[in-house]
Amino acid sequence: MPLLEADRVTKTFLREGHARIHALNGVSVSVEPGEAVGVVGESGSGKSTLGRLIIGTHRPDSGAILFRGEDLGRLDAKQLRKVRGEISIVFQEPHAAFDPRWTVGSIVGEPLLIHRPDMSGRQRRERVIQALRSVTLDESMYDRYPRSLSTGQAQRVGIARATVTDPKLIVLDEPTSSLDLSIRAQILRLLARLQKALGVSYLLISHDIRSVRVTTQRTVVMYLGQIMESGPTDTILSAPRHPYTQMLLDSETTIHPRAQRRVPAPLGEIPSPTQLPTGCFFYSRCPLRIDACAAAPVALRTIAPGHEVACIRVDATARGAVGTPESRIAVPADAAATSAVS
Amino acid sequence: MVTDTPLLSVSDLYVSFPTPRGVVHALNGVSLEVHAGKLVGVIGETGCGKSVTARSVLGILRPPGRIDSGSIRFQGEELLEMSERALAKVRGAQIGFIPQDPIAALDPILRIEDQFANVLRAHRPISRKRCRDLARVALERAGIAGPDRVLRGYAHQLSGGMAQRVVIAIATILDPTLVIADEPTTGLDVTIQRQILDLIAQRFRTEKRTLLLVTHDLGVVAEYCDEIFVMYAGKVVESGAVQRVFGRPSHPYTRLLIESVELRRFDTGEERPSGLLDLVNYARGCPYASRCPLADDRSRSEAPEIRELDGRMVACHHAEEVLAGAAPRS
Amino acid sequence: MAAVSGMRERIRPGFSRPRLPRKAGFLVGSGFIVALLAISYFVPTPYPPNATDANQTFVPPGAAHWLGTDNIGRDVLSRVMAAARTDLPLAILGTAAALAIGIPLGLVASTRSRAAGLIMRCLDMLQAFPLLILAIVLVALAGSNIYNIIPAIALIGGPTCIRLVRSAALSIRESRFAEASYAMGSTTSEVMRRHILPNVAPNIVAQASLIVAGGLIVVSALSFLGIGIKPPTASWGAMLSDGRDAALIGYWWVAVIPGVLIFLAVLSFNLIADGIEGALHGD
Repeated sequence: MPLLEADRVTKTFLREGHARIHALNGVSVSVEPGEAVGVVGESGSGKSTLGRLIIGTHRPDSGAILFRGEDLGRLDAKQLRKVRGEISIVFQEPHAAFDPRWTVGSIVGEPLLIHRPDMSGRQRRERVIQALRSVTLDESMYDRYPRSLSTGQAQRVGIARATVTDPKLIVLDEPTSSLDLSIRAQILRLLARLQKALGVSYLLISHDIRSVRVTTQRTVVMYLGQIMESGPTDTILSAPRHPYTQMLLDSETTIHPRAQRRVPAPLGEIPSPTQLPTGCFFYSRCPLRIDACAAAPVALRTIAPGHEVACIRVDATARGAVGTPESRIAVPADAAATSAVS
Repeated sequence: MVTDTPLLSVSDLYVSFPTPRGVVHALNGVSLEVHAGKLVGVIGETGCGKSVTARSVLGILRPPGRIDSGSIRFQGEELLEMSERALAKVRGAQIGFIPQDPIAALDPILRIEDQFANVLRAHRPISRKRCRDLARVALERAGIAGPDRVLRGYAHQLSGGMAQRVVIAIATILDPTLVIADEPTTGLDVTIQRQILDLIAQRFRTEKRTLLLVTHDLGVVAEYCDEIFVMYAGKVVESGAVQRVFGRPSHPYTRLLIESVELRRFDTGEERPSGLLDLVNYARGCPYASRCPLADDRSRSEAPEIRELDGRMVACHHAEEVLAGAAPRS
Repeated sequence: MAAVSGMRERIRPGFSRPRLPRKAGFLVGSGFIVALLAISYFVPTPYPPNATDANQTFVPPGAAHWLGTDNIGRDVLSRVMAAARTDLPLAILGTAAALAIGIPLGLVASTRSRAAGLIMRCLDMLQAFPLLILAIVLVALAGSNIYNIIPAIALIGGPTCIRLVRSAALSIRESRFAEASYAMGSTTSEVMRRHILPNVAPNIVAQASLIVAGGLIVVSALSFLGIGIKPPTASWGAMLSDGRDAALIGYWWVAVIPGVLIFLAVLSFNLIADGIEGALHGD
């Protein structure tokens, strides 16, 4: 049974006086125990809203969020509170997510206050220090205030806080977007390490498709509140089959001269979420579109084990594989990167 | 005719900001040169001083920031000796500016056409109708179909990408020789970023305009710039042709940045996170020493001078080591 | 176009040292109040404040009576000190009442419940009246009992307090760290207790000082009008009223001295509030 399941969830927001914003339009995602899943998309994709539904800030308008098979919308307050102890969250901007008057020790220990009232003050402190060490922060951090931390250190504190109750699932909402370049890599490597060490599941939400590479096993690509493609992360990054995923990857800049082929600039902009297109949502920008695409909504089709694509023209979307000029994402150091490419 | 005199030449610029916590030394002897027709990137992370450098050139440094010493020469003239009026004439007409947040950069209560008019009429006497015609053409060249609707509208009605196109149009309408872009695509979706950068690169090359692009994104610099200046803690630590610097970095910080983008591990040492960059208590010695795996006593006591090495400029005592250790990429 | 300095990321706002004038003001203000209270409670008055002496009327300030005497021979200094024992505690108690009502109501008003809406509408109605007049009427109706002044002050200081607490609580409630706490599973009361109150508290302390200042003015105004505090109890406002006519014929000290005290006390509370605000918001 999957640990977490979003089952055909929709969510619409009402802006004062204005139209309705259809943030999520029938999204189903599942996360297995111990699995890290990436959710990738640009602004307007609905990925953040999905995250908010899972952590309970909002409730879905239709569909359900299931944790261990239980519909979160049907739980009473007490049961829900218990579930909150098993799902934790890491926010995008580390400093904003901390009460500025609390010390690092209190911040990391807050989940314990809520969920482990059985623990004594000393036990809490020990557990907090353990969590800090697991993110390579020293015990001396305990009494410091967030304002004295760099963003890299602060994000580590946020991660420590998310692990302190031994959760089953951690939702990471753009965990590296506010960080400097040289810190991003550190944090992503830390997250990858932690995931293996703790066996926890991740739902990693990001607009930076590269950040899912080292940290996730599966990736889901969202556009305008729907899933366009989902599959193993390496497949998605090296051999994507949905035209949007391809456009996304083509748009990424790279410092490899080899991979810098001239790609046509992406077309247009994302349609307004107040007026959803009929038919395929990506129609207005798709280089492969035909009339049939606009006629009816497109469902996800399985094209290989674990690889689903929502495109009726998927047969025409195959490209080269890893290591060829088509792949713009920097290849892992262990692959034969510097060789065959010419 | 090729001329060796750089279009823009910043020499030994020192900029500081007095704050309640002490004086923040934002720029500590920044020198860079931009030659006509080139697309030059300035790269660095938070606190490196790249934005401060850009704003110093434009003369829009926000108080309490002040230029302590140094020189900024543009087309042979010393900008730091110009009066504010003379500088205002240079801004817009000869040096254009594309700022980071396009919607915030546009006036929220003026129509777009009025914003064009304000810029144009500040420099020459033109009728409003002519302004509108010029603006229309400028918007079209910035890739906006249906410019009339945009002209009559307001900033908040535009998407991020559209707004940035408007800003680019305004920045180039007076045909400036040099355009400084401060993180022009940060915050935009990656597909929009690609559109905007392609637009800028394509137009600037055809129009033979010079670009100084300030960004934290290495990929952007690698794909669009000819030359690069890498900054750290208010200094230029490495500079040269982009492919050379990225292909064979000679400064540990450049190497760290490259490694971070590629999520690959060079042997850069342990993972301990660094604390806040302290620009108030500016230590002697190399500013990067506290994070550098190659730092030794000489690094800590003696600041490295920028020097030529392997066809580029670098400020590091251990540059030869870095060069040797970097895996060559063909 | 907007020119935001790239330095903003480097300088993190927090609790910075307040500038010298604010800090000095805070020290001066609190010093004055503390001294005033200490003197009025622990230093015996040179003369019994209510003791009259027909032979010593309108004595100018001098060796025997440092601040002179009033129209029936009472020592002004003694009366001023005794008045402090009346006026200040009243202002402080009134402020305490304002806070006791204001803080809970303000916190409730920051939620999205129907009670919140009700509170705000009542406030709007209440603040449509000139509150000082209302207070005077109420005290006059309720009877000129000295303790009736306390609700009067609460009435005047309460609405501002409620609004302030509400807006501070709202901004905390909508902050990312409150959201984080809810996401962790905190109940509303836990978030209130652990995050909202502690972050709102400093604002309240600053506001409290201002309410005391206002309360002092109310007390003085009421006693000036002869409402609430009955003679011969010493009160600065009453002394001001008693000395009004005397001042016209040149016996200035009877009215000016208490007037100056009111001024200094109110100023001190304002300086204290300023200093706290300064420490909270940096520069």
